[in-house]
Amino acid sequence: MAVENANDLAGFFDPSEHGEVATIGASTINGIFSDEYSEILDVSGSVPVFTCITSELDEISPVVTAGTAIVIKSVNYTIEVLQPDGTGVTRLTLQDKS
Amino acid sequence: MHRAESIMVAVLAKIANLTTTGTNVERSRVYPNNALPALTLEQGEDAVELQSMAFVDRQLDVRVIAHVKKNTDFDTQLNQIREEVYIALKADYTQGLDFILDTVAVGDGEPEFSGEADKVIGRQVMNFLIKYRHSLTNPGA
Repeated sequence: MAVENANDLAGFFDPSEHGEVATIGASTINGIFSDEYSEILDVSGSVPVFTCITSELDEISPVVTAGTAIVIKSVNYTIEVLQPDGTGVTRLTLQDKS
Repeated sequence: MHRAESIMVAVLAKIANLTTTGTNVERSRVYPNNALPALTLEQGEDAVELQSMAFVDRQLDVRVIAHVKKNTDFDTQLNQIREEVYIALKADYTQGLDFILDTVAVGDGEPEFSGEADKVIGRQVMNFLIKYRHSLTNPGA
């Protein structure tokens, strides 16, 4: 039995709470966006990640894959890696296209 | 001033203002780079190669490290930087200092890349050996 039900997940990603609305093509999807500071290979940057409900991601047409464009907070990103965690949530690793 | 210091200053001047990296050049940087593409200059081992009654011949290990951060062609940009650095340091093997005997390109390390940040980050190390001579009694003369 999953710890969260669909309502729990929807509440967790609610834009009026902790969530952000992302745009993929003509579709929108709620999720949690983070962009933490990073230091990799002696270079400073950040790690943009969008976490959302897997079933909502699967409903988007055309199918979301690595390379799909996504807009969050008016910033254009490309999805580099889709990481479903097996509990109904998918973590999208993003690349800034600006 | 130790002649190794004079060499580092001269090398830094030679790799400053290259076409791709411009003024984003620093020596012995200990903090992460923000302005990219960039070069960092590091001093390595300064081995004694030969010692006589009058002078000491040394080999100073000098590392030039290229840093890039971009979405595409990051490997191409590293190779472009490598070309510019090589030309800059091999144009005059003395680096403008009459006590330098030779500047040897030892070889470049394997490029490293990471896709874990907002853009792809790349780094590559270029190794040079600066052969120079100083007095037996004073490394600054």
